[in-house]
Amino acid sequence: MKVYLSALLIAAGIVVPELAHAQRNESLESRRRRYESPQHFAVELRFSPYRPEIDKDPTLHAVPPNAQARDTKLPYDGALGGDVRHLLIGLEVDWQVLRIPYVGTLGPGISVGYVSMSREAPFRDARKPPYSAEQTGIDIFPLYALAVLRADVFWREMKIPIIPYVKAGAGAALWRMWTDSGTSVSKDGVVGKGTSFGTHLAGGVALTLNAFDEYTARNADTALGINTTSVFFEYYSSDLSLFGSGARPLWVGDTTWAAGLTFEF
Amino acid sequence: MRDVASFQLARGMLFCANMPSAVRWFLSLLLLFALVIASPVASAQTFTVPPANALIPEHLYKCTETTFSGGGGCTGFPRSSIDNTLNRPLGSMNGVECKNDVQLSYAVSVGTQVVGYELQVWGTSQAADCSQDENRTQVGKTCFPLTDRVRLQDIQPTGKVRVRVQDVASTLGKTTAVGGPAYTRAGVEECSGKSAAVVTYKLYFLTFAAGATSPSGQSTAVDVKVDVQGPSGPSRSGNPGAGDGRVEVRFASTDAQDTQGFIVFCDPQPGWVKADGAVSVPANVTLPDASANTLTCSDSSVSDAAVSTTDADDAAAEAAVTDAADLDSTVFDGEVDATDDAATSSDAEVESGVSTDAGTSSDACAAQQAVCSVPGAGPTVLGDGLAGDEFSVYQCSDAITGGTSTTGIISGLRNGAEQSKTVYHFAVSAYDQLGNIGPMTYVGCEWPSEVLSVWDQYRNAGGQAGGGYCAFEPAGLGAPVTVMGLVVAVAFGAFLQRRRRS
Repeated sequence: MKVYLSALLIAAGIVVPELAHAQRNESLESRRRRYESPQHFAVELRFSPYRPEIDKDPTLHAVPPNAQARDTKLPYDGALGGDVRHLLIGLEVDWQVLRIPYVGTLGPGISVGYVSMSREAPFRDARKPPYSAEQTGIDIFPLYALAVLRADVFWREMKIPIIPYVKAGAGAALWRMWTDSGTSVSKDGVVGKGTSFGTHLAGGVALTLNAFDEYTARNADTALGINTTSVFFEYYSSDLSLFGSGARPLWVGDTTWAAGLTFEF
Repeated sequence: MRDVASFQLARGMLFCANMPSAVRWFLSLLLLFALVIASPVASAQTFTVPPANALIPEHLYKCTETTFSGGGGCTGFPRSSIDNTLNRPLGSMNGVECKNDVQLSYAVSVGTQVVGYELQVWGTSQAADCSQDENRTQVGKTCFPLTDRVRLQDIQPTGKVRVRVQDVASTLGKTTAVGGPAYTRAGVEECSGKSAAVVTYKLYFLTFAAGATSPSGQSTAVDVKVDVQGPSGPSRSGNPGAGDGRVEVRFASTDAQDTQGFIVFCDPQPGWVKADGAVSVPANVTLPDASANTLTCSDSSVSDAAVSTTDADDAAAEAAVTDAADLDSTVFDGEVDATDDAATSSDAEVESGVSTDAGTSSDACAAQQAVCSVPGAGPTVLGDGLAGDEFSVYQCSDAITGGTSTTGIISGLRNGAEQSKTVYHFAVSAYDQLGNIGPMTYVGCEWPSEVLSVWDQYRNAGGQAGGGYCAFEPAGLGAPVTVMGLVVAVAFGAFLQRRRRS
């Protein structure tokens, strides 16, 4: 209960002064609107901790991570360490093709990212030390085609500097498993690379920085055509286990969060 | 120039005679004509030398004849792979060329009337003007003759003068002890013990009237980069690391300022190891005389001893095996399979722990075994302080460029199992901007074996993905990079479009 009350007070603390501020500057705001440049696109620079869900594939069973190990682990955990997340860097471009009055923008978007993870490869035979000087790892390029709804009504109509949004679409990830000697090939000749397909759902909120420095924001619009600059926090689920190359797809999706910068122009 | 000077001189004399000017002009022209006709000097002194950068590799020669002109008995001296990597300045001189008694050939053009005149090449490492008499004749100067005096008429047929690298090396850092040093033919001993720094050496091509001590006309000078000493070796930085058919060799970069990179030596060479692990040196490979390094060590006596590099060098130098062929068989028999029953005396030495040079090589053995701790590793011809350029047949890496490099990857090695492994020994040398390869640093030994990749572990765990369609490889610009480029292009295009509209 205390938590809800605190949240309500914080929200009120943001909203009430902003509303008052908005009323005081009504004439200024109407002039700003008149000179504001049109807005059709959004670009996101994304950063996300990522750990592919390879081990969640129910068909996998645990194996010894090296020739001397007595315990067994699922393959990703054994080879690369299950607890470590790696930085995914991404870029997303949205076309805000439709503006819904008193709601926000709706349109398609495409996103591409890259993440790589590696660790020393263990020797196949028992020898000491058990790990070699050679690295083994995975490179993943997640790609998404999305529908994006950004509810910027709070910012545009009420001057509350938050923009909630949701995204939904299809995803594909190109992946490659490698050692320092090149792309891995299994003993039975299967090359360690392929593509996995699935779905992508995301929800997040962006805090527009225009509210904190209107002068700079207006200059950015005048000089560059950038309407809003925001920082965002997003939670997403990328389930790339529907189908892919091979008899089963490699489960390289993840459910995690992302943060970054959004530019709308 | 001399023609002009003669003309002025003639005019001055005739002015004093207070004659009418027309007569004076006529007489001066007549005198000038007589001077030109009477003297072959003008044409003899007119020779030119192309700049050093005009020299081409074919102008590096090994010659059997000892004259400095003519082309008899000379064959081209090839550039090394490191020279090509470095794109080494043409006309420069390095230690390999010095040791091989290579000569640089310079093209000169002489006139048609050359009888009675000689050409001599002088050189200095300290920017003195060797055309000045005092710099060639006084004590404490740095100009030295690099050739005998050669008659211009002997040069005329080929238009070439050759300078020996050994002669140049012999003058580096020296000053004249007696006035007017005569040319003396230097030997291969001049190719060592020099500074490792690059010297801008100046060659002077001087003409003399026969018997004269002063040059009688034009002199031409060219700059040549000279360095006959390789940089000091790197220091060790951890043991080599094994991988799948490869080994990562680690070292700490040398502090020598002119180090341009490093090369790695492998014993045995990867290509010499057969599928069954046997080592076979190709018939066309000439192994160096490795008698300086006779590490026929025992496995048991000194494996944990910590012996300094200096001790190792001393001991290695003390140990003497005079027959290189014996040494080779020792080395390779030992390496192929140290657990086999000894079939030769050298194998027996490895197995039994008794060294032929017991008492003299033990320190070196200890040093090597302190670095190479792989059980069953045989001895090696590679060792600290050995001249890298004499062991080029063991070179197993391309040039690792960059003076601050700290690792080298040696691939193409044969994997082994614990009981049937081929142990490779590794040494590293630095090279400088003129392609001089410095002394080796022995950095250890290792045996490669198969590794488990993530992919192997995934497949072992029952994974059924993969096969490659619509995938990517890092070497080419694959699909993801293309898509990423497209996204960036779309973003940029949208931004531009948006700007244009606003």
